Amino acid sequence: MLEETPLDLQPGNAVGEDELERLEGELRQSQRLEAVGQLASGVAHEFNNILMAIGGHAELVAREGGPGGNGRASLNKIRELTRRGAALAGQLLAFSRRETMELVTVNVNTIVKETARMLRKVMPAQIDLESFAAGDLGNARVDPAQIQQLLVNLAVNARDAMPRGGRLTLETANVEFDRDYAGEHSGVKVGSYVMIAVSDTGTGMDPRTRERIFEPFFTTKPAGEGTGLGLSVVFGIARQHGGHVWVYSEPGHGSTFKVYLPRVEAEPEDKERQDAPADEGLPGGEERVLVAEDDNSVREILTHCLKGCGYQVVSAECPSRAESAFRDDGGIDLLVTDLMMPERSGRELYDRLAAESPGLKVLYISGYTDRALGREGMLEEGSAFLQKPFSLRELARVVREVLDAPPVCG
Amino acid sequence: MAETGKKKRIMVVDDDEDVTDVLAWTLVEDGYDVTTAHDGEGVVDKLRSEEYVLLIVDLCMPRKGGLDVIREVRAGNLPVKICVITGYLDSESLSAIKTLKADMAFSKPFSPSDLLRRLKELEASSPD
Repeated sequence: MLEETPLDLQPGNAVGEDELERLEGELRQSQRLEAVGQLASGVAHEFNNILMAIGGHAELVAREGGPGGNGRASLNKIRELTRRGAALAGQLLAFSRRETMELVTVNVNTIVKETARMLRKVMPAQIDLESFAAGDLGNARVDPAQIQQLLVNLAVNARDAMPRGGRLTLETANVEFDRDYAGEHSGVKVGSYVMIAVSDTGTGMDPRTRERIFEPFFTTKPAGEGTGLGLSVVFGIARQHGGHVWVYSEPGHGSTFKVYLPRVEAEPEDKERQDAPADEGLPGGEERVLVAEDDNSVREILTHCLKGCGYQVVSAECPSRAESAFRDDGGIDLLVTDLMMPERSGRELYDRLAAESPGLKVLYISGYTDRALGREGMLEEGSAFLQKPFSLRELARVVREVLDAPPVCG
Repeated sequence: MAETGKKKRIMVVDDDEDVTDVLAWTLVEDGYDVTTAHDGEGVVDKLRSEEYVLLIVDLCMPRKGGLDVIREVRAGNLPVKICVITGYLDSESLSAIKTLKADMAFSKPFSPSDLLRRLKELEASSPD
């Protein structure tokens, strides 16, 4: 995918520029089809596993004759599995990117700075994050949310390549590709680009791995720790912006991903984003927050972010542990809880805790919309709610708002 | 339920924890002693060190896939029966399954009860 196969042209066999372009187009198309094939088999594999587990648990419930005993555990598993299916669908949408892009002309430095600030809150302490923004960086016409997602995916990849810590560097630069360069690198067009580089000091990759990293569902991570879609999404987003991605990596010497986005002459139009003070911190406080979330990665991110905002955070992976933690702590001001969890819902958890401590405030989070949850009776009207995925800035803002709101009576 | 006394052991190997979970729950309910693993590394050593009646193994797994495990089981003449499970069957895997003479094969999604039924038939047709 990175080093496209050179065309096997015999010497003396004159091939015109148009012909060459057509052949290269066909080659790219065949590679795209190969990627689609790989995607289809990966999706089939994932969905069949999910369906298999749902069907198997349904059988167990039927055997039990109802949702008593182990049947209840199976029903909870089924609910988790449907969420896993929904998450897979969400990742596929991110890969195919069928939704309309919201393009604005921006200085990419603003996106990089904002993302770096967010990443500093969530990266493990043993990873140093540096960011170097080129002062004269040109503008690009991009969907800022997608570029942020691209950077986060690259950062997650870098983090996983540095299990014992290291340095993550984000930098930007202006780059020109001339005719010679474009001629030597398939898929690259002559022109001016804005480059974002994401480098790590991690394990690096051998050539075989490097050639396959953008393939959907290709992953080197242990089972259950990666979908194999993160870098495919990076590739898809860069391509959709008319750009491309190059990777430089050697085993033991870390990796550098360079994303090139076409530069435009127009002035930035997203004034709100440009005017945002570069170093404005996230709103925070010192209250005690209990995080109840069964998804390990989401719980870690929430905990890191809230700690980064100054809060004292206790976290639990299930409602029963959350209840014990609440009682042990004795001074929790706010419960941040997932709505759908094994054992009991986030709302039931809050009701039990609020019965002991009426001043307790709550913020619900869920992958479902508040409307859908309201319909199911899972969410009371007027409850503080954040729908996943949310930005850490949004989380910090809503947590502060909930804590500052007057206590609800009755 | 399986016969009382010493429980028969089954090894379930699949990189997807949800799949190993549901198979293990079903087999345990039926009285078997179940061990799970999430890739092929170390599986053959385990099969050598303890007596298992059945190995249920996924084909596509990180590090060491199902076909490599089956090849080693066959090369070592281990007495365990083999059940191949797969979420995506291509012609290459199919011919490998035939060559390596798997005792049964299921394409996901399948019903764990069907697997149990086939296992009982297999046990009935080849008593210890």
